[in-house]
Amino acid sequence: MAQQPAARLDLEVFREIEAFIYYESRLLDERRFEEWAALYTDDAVYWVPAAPDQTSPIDSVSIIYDDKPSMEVRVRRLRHPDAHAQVPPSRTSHMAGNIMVDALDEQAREYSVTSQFQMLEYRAGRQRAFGGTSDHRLRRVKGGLMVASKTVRLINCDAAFRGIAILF
Amino acid sequence: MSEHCASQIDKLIEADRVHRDVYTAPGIFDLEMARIFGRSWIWIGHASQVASIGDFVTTRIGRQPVIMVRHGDGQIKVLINRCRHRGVRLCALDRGNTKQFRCPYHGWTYRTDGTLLTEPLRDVFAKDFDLDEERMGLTKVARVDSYRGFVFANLTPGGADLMPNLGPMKAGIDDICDRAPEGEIAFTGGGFKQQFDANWKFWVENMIDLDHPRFAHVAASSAARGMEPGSDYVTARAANRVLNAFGASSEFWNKTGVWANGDGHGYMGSLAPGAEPDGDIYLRYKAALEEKHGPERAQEILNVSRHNNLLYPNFNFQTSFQHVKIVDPITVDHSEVRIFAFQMKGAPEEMNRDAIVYLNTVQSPASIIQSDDFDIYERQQQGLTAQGSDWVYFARGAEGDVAEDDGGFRAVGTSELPMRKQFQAWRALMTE
Repeated sequence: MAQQPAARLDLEVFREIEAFIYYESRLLDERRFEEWAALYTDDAVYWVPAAPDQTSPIDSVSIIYDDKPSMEVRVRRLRHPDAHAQVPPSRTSHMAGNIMVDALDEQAREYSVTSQFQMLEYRAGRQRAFGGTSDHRLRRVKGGLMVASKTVRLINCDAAFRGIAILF
Repeated sequence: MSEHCASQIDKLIEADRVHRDVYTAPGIFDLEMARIFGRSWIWIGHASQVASIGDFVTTRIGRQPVIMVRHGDGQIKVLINRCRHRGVRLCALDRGNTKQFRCPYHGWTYRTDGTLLTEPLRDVFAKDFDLDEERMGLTKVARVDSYRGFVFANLTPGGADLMPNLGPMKAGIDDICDRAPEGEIAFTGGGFKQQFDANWKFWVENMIDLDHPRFAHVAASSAARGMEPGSDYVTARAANRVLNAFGASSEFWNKTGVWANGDGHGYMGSLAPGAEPDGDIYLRYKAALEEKHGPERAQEILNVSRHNNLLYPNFNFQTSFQHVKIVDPITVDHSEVRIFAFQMKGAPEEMNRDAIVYLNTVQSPASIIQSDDFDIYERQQQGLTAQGSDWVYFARGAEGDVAEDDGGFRAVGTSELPMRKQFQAWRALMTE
């Protein structure tokens, strides 16, 4: 599974990718959910497996397996005044690091990026922590970057969770 | 309240209301563990989870740790997950395959039927210490029975057998299995676990509470409104179909109807009674069912109208979206839920995949539906710390219950009949 970093990646491109990953975290922490969803391409998929060894989102259940329209529903729900699980709202702190650009597909103009993340969430008197690995497929679109897919492997993906409302 | 005698417990339950102590008093909770979870038929698992010899899953009966394992003779055994020596929980995994269970502490080892195989330093135990392989084997659950692959256990030797207790709920299990063209389901497809800081009964009540969706889930249903059905097996496909129902009017929910009986069991009818689905996938499915049974029997199977079934005290199984779930009481104000997807053998692959999509959308801990429910359970527990207004009301529809021939009662969907029957069963179990 572990890959060598993409060879001959321009340092400036690496910096751009790194800044993009940080920016996504920031949009979530600042509850700028619409701007966050807009980072994703129309054919994007956001996947959070429910088991550590899960290979397919089709044959077994996932914590999240959203296409773009579903991501937008999630965002509209978060904005609704009666989204009870967000009254009061969560405050989060996403931290991304260990960013590795694993592969570059020149033809598709896509980068495979792996990073580690930790997210602290405080809500209604309770603080909890999530952590794991994010696999981003970033696509070059009109000179900028967009997320073509994101897979979040939580280290506790098969734990007994309390409700999860904020994305990783 | 730490001590409760029968007459005190009796006073906590009235026809259309219950005292808050039933959710908040630790003494009541301890009694529930003995009198309800210690004496009821509790769902343990499904035979397909332990398909091969040596396969095991770990589960709970109330708070007690339990192993379900397929022994070498092909029989399914239900054993208390506790080493007889010094009390270690023997098996630490959710599932796996093993020839024997060996305690990590001092090596006491048990066969998969629970008998004691070996204990180190056997010759230095006192001469009269009983190391009989049966008597010092893993504690067996008093009664184990199964119906169509669903395994249940009961910690008490006496009392009603499984089938009489299932009663009219047997038809719900039949419905689940009969709808699979091969007459069988399999617990593949994974599952979820969830927890919440509230009493287990709030979850049970919510299983058949058809007036909550339009309030509790208004954010999700209004967010999904107008969404186009997706073409792939991701959420959009289900959202259009499912989420809109959560915003439906009370008239819609009333038409589904609810049924419940004095054992606390209940079910709700189909979301679209009398309306048969269409589309290529459904027609292929129906053809498979007809090929197996002939058109008449196939239609009979499809005419059964049960969306969701509650087997008191803590098991819920749903035909239409192919999953089961169980709540485990941990403390008076903490509970865990486990959800399992199942697949219908012989059905088109797309139907089984649709069920997965539904579970991602509606049953996941990150579901825009479920997370609101769990938040509300916790707020119920928090609200009930208030003193002075001590009663919780289940009066909705109380004059509309209609007795049925099967000993149960039927009412419109928004009636609180199921909760009234749950507490009738609760009172009987707690005071008998």
